[in-house]
Amino acid sequence: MDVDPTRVLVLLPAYNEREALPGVLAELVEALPDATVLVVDDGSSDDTAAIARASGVRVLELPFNLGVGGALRAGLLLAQREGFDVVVQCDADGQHRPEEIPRLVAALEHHDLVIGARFAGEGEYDVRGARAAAMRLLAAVMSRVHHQRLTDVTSGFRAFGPRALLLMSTDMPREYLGDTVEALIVAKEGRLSVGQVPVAMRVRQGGVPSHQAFRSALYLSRVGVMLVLALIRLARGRRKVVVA
Amino acid sequence: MSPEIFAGLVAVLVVALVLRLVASRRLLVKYAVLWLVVSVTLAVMAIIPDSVEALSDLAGFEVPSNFLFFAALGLLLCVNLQVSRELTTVERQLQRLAEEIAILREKQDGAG
Repeated sequence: MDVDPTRVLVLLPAYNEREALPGVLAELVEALPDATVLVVDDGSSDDTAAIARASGVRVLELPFNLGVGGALRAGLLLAQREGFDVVVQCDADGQHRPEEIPRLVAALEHHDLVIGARFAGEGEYDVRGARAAAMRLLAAVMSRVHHQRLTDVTSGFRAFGPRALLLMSTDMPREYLGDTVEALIVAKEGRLSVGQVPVAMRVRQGGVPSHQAFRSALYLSRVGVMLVLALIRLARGRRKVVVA
Repeated sequence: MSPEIFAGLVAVLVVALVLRLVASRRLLVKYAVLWLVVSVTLAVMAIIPDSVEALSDLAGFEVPSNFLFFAALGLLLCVNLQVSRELTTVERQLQRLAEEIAILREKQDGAG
């Protein structure tokens, strides 16, 4: 796929990101001068939207907090309606390097959805405990579902090709964790091809991830429940296809 | 006060409350119907206590009150599930609206 750089939209879901946002946006605009940058302010209580506007990028302002899935869907819907070919999602906290975006976009030649994977050998990124176990389990299951080596399915650094854009602008799951894990099941249902590109990450600027045992356990069980429900759905969907 | 009279009073109160809520448009008719059916059933049970016993025997319960508890729990469970389902639909629609509003607002700001 030959991508016209002016038809690429960089989508940043942002919730109370006033600290990191100006730096992140400046970097993005410098690295990708031809792309359109869109910040989706997910009902922030601070002036995230105003700060984004001041940086000269486009801003969608959700009237209340919808979660990452909802913010993504709003951005994808806009991109789809305005005829963009490619949407690249990245975090507004500066974890993801803009220099890596062209590599993600290039990989869309072979896949509909490309994940920028943190554990694929590039850079250093360390997660421990139950969370790490959950992530490994998810990666193993999703690799099997998609017959493709996927090592980091919870990454918020992804590129959507035209087919993924069409599907996800309406079917992106909106629940907690749904935007990453369940989205991959939806992608499978929609017969999208999913691949990954190893990327290096930076330490997130502000906001420390929690390592409390209780929270980790809660995370693990939520992941488990969601995964089982999503797989049941996938199995049922397959049966229906066979019948039809 | 006998339990029959008590149940009858509750039924009448529920009917009155439901009718009032419908009249003041705080309850949609489609939800009101359910509660009216429930309270009418309750009233019938209060007026004809033998009906409860007959139903209980039919379902194979030894103690009629167990049958009542079971039926009440089952009904509440179903109602709750249905409400959760409706809520899911409403949340989905609400999200779509929020997305559309955000897109429209951006378009308007760009034009103005």
